[in-house]
Amino acid sequence: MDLLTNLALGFGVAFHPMNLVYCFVGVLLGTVVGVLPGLGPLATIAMLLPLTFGLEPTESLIMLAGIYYGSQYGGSTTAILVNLPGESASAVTTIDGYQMARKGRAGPALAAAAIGSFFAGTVATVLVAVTAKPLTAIALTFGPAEYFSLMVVGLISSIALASGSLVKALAMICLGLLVGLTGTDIYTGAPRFTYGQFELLDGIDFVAVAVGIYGVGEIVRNLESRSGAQALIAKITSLWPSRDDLRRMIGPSVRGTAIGSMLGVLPGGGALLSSFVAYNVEKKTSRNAAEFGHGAIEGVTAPEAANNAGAQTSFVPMLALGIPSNVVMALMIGAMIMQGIVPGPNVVVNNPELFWGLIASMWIGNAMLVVLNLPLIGLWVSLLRIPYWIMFPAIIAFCCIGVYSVSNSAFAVYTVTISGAIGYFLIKLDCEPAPFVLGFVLGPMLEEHLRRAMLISGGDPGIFVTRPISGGLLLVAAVLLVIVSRPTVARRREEVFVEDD
Amino acid sequence: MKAAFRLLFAVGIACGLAGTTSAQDYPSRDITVMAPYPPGALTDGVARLLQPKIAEYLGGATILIDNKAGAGGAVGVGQVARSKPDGYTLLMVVNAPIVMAPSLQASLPYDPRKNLRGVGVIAETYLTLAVHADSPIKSLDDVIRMAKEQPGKLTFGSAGIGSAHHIAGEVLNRKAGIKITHVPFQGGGPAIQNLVGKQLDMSYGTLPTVHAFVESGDLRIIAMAEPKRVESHPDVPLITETIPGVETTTWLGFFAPANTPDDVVAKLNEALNYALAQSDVQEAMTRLGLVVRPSTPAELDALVAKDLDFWAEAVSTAGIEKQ
Repeated sequence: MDLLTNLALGFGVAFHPMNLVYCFVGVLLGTVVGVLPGLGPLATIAMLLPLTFGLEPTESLIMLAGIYYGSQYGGSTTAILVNLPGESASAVTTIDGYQMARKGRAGPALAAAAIGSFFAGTVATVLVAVTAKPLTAIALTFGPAEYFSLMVVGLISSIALASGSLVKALAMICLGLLVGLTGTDIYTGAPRFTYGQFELLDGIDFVAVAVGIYGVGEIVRNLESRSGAQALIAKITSLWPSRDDLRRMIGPSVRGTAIGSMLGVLPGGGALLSSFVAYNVEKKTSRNAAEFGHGAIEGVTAPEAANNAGAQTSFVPMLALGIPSNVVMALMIGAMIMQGIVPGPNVVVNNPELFWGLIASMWIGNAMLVVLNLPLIGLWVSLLRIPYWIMFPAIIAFCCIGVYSVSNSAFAVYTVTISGAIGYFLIKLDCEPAPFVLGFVLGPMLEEHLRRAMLISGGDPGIFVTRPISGGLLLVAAVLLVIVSRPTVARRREEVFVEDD
Repeated sequence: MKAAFRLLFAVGIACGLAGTTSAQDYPSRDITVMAPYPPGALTDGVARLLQPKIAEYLGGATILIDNKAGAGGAVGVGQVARSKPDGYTLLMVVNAPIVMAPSLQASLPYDPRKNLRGVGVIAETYLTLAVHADSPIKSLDDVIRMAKEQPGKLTFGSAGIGSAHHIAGEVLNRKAGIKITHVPFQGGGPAIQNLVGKQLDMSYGTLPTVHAFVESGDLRIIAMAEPKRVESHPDVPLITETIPGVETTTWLGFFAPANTPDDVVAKLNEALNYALAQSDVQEAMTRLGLVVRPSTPAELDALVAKDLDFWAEAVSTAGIEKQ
């Protein structure tokens, strides 16, 4: 058994005392930066990169990887407690996580996130070990046409994301698409919606928008009334999930892991898209569909499992091809090069101890995260007892420092401010931010791949249906569209809406 | 924490701790080196590689790397161009925003001739034209023949509009009288990935991005878009040997604001060349796919002047409009 020998080699490397220490340092740092809103793994890894040059290559990569998946854990904490996605992939966790916290069930929500993530981490580790090669092959067959069709599936299913009015959800998606188009048109170089601002040429920073719309908007709304401000300090019923909660977490964990593992491999969308898709799938398949948006534990477990699985499988194209699937992976490649390892298809052959050691360390790191996070739940929840006049300014200060550190630019702070104002008005108008955020993320990718596919096909739209994977995805999208617009679903949406009033 | 710390530093510097500058007491405080791309980009990697060696030569001065990304580097370059010319705000950058952007962008927040002066060339790298290993295309002659048989049918990938990749491809189209469809990507990596996945017929790519796939047997380099044959690849022909004029150059340079005193620039040039002479720096550069090219400040200024004219002509030949 090749796999067993390889895994044995990997665990041999990962259990080396120094590697264990660096793994722990990585996940601890990751948890901390994940909890601080806006300050993501990107800025942290970038700042630590020079310090890792003195370490062994395996030690430094184990630590940097720990920061990355550790931050996926930490990001869910603020998402649940104060409706602030500490990390972009946990944006969708805010929907049900924050509602659970408002109902005094912050403890079970945090536990659900941790346990779901650990399950996903364990499965994804095995999956990366077994399928690194074939998964890479699948990722390569994804050309522009396939990406376009995948984005269509994502957009259509995002309609299901909203629990309120369908018209408002559609309007929010369109608004998100339009705002997402800001920046340089990559096919002509023409600036769009930039109004002469150089900072806008690269588009609007996602983290700044998410922090503004979710975080600042929510804080302003809370300040409107004394009673609103106290919503944060809801009485806490229980710290631990009940037996019923645990039972309800099984299905979402499995489905979230499967979705996250598959989407994580694809460059571009990765962890963020996987958490959205997992949430939608759960909402469609769950028996407790009506509870979604009002604090369903499934709505926390599934996206958390998905983003953690996605975070780990996104290492597959990086390790097997030297191709980064997101900016953090690009940074990891930079770290490898600096260590004298040429990233690319030969890493597995030339540096087996690094490849398998890193994979084994991910599992160890995930176990450490559970040990680290479960006892901390009590501490995190007690943060909710901090009076809001201390808590709110502190959160806003951290948000500003975090987004500033991404590009060292005050412009991101202005973006947070403006997004916060927009977020507040959206809440007042009963428009949900989730479809907006998805449109914002998917819009530019949809356009990029549509136009690229058309360039390659010489203007023939047939490319989208004649390529089997692309055609299959479009079929899924068509079926989804029918399901979403079916009267029964529409009626159920109405009911949910009425309940809301 | 570190972010907060850096913020405080930035504020401190902005509040003006400046004094008079002369080479004897330079540096008397912290130096900021702008690398106008996100952390992890090539420029950032090189800046962080050179940082400790330059600091060592300057008597243990503290050097901060500032990653202010945006507009293809123009935001960060513009900030250095507007900085006080006292030797405490410097710039490490690839050639694109310095010599290519002026021909591509209508409103740049700086003029490389007036606002910057060279400290020294750091290194250079090479642009290749690659195809998939299974491709029927074996040489540049095959490219030209097949493009003539089916105009517009073949595709080439580039790192984006206005990249050296794009300009080389369009200049080849014009000079050879052929039509190969340009497919821009966001960066050279994704273009090469799509070439490996057989979504494209060919792609331009810098040697470091392409090299690993050549070694693994996935890709084949058919030509270099360079003016001279590359030392490490003497057998690979140049495009310009078949179609004269299809060439590019890619380099990294170290700059200071225009009126920085000569003696400070001279000291920085010594520090840079000291760093470039270190064997561990050279090894790391080789791994990054770069070839170290030490120079004098005047040589970099001359290179900038020459390349500004070269790219202006190439962009106009390629028929790319200013934005």
